[in-house]
Amino acid sequence: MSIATEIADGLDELETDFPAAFVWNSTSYTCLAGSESRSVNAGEFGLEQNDDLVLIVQLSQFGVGSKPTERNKITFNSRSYRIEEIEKAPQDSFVIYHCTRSR
Amino acid sequence: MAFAHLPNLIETRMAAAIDAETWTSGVTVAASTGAEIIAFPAIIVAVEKGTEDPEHSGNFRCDLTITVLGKVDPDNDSTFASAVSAHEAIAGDVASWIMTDTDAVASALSGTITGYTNELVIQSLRLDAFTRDINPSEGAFEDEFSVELYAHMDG
Repeated sequence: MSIATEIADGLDELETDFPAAFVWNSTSYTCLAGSESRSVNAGEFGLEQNDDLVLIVQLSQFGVGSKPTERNKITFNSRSYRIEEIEKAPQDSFVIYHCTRSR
Repeated sequence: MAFAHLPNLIETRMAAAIDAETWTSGVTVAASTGAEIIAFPAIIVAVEKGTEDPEHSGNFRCDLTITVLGKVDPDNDSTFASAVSAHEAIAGDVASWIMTDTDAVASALSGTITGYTNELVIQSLRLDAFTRDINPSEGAFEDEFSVELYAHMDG
């Protein structure tokens, strides 16, 4: 069994135990939710919300089609986030999206 | 009934006048106090300073800034160029509004605000300067219009 398959099996199990999904381009995709932080602070234009989110996502579910890229907008838990950074695992087994709240 | 401070009168009247324009559909318009979790695109109206001129006349020369904030980030099915175009359109509308018929704008700004009795009277206004920038911390294009108002209060 390749390392990618082993990782996928592990992620499948975790996704079953901790189901979560995000929406990108009007389509829902499965993910594993990592840390999710929410804060509201006084800012330049009143009260500002600073939310951060980390998602672990299997790339196989996107098939050969396009995948979310940096600066794309996603929706998670009814909140709009923007993907600020993407970490890629070996053999494209999964990616980690580091997201921040999108205005 | 309460007495409104001049910056409150000016910002509230100007934000309401801008918000009433058809081109601000989908645009957040707010005073310098901002909003709770503001959404972009947005227009912020802020009185920076007021000075009585001439002294003891009751008339004030006020410096006001209208800031147009546009999203740098495009939507998923859009492009950076489209985000720029959307911002340029709003900035152009503000420029047209503030420069084309200043008498009409002065007239629209004059009046009272809810909860206060004193009335704002704008005698004249002019566009003094403009600047533009990208605000990386807010992820916004910023076009700033510096406007000079000559105003007094009645009541």
